[in-house]
Amino acid sequence: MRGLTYFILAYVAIGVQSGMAHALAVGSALPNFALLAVIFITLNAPRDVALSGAFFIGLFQDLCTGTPLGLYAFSYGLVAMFVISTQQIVYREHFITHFSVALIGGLIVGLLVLAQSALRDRATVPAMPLFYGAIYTAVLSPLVIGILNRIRRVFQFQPRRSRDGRSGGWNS
Amino acid sequence: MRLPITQAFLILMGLAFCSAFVLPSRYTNPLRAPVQGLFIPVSAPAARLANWAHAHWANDAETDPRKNDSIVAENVRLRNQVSWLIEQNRRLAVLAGEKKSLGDLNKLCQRFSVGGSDTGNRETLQLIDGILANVREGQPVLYFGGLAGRIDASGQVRLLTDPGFNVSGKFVRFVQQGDRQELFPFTDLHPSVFGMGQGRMRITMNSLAEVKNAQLAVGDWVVLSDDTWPAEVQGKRIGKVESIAPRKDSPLFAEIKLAPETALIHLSEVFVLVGKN
Repeated sequence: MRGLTYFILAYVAIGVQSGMAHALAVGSALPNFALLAVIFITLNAPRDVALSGAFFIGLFQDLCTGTPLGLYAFSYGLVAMFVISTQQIVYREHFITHFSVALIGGLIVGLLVLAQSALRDRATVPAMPLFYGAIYTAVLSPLVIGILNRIRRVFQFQPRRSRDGRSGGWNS
Repeated sequence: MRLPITQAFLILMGLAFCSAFVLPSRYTNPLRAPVQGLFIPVSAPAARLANWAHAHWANDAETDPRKNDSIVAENVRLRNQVSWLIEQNRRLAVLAGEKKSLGDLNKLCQRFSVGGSDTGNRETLQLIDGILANVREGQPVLYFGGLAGRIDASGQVRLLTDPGFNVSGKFVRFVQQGDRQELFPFTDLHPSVFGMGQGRMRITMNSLAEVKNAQLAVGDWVVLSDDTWPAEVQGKRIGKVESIAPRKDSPLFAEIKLAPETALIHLSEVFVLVGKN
């Protein structure tokens, strides 16, 4: 995968998340564009690249939030591990795949945010907005990931395993 | 040479877990400060576009009564000024003998545009040029309608409505006197106000009997009365009482929900109190 294209995607996803998410809220549900970028990367990129790519999108998101540093990086790392485990059994261009993976990914992130809040802040973050946010993000996923799939070529995703038995890596 | 990415990933995950779940935030928050504003080239225009769309299409009549109404906006500023002046006068009276002017609050504040809001489910704002202007942890942040929050260790504005944010205040009531509204403190209750997310705050530590005796009502205001905050911002408005009901987990206690003058997360500019009298 091209590193520069990945960086632009991560940068735009976090910028849009920071600038627009609260304005696009439906009730208490916030969309999570960074999570959609993570799902797009992990559905398409080779395993190693997908893991590190998801982790660093989370780390970028951690820079602009009030939660402790590392929470989203850790959450997206887990989401990436989950998505990679399903890569062989899902049709990665189908909208139902995008919806279901985004929903489960949103729930994983929500559970970790809630767990962190309960352990460190004595359950100050309300649970239902996280659940609604996961649904909202899942509803948006066919549109956002569909658009990203249209421009997938610029990411130069490599096959998951090449003939010499090594999985693809980062390109400059 | 290829890096063993899987091993590196596992190490990074371990570090992230420790940072998120084990290490106190005071050790990790300062790491974020130098990169505040990194995403502002995208987030600021996105926020402007989103706020423009929000102002035109969102139905915020209840939370933002100033919409298209400059007279109401002026009224809000005046009420805020009145509550601040009354509290400052009271404090000056307490400090009898010390004839020290409190000065003009505007001169002590620096205006900042908001470059973006929280990327997670918390309620924080990123300031454009906040780091370059050297804002410091703990400085109060104001907006036209009162107090907005405080600068945190990472250089972001932690809003009053962020879950867990805690501040002390007191109840006041605006009463119509002829053609103007005057502010009256009407009870000795000093509530602790906690942010609860979703643009709201709550007070949960007062019993229902206390609340009834104080004749607290929807529409009353809570203003800042907290010695851990600078004297210059005492009396600034925190939130308006939106509802009073028994607590679900403890029916003898009241749950009082407060809403700020406007949705703090949608603010486009704020004022940081950088100076002192």
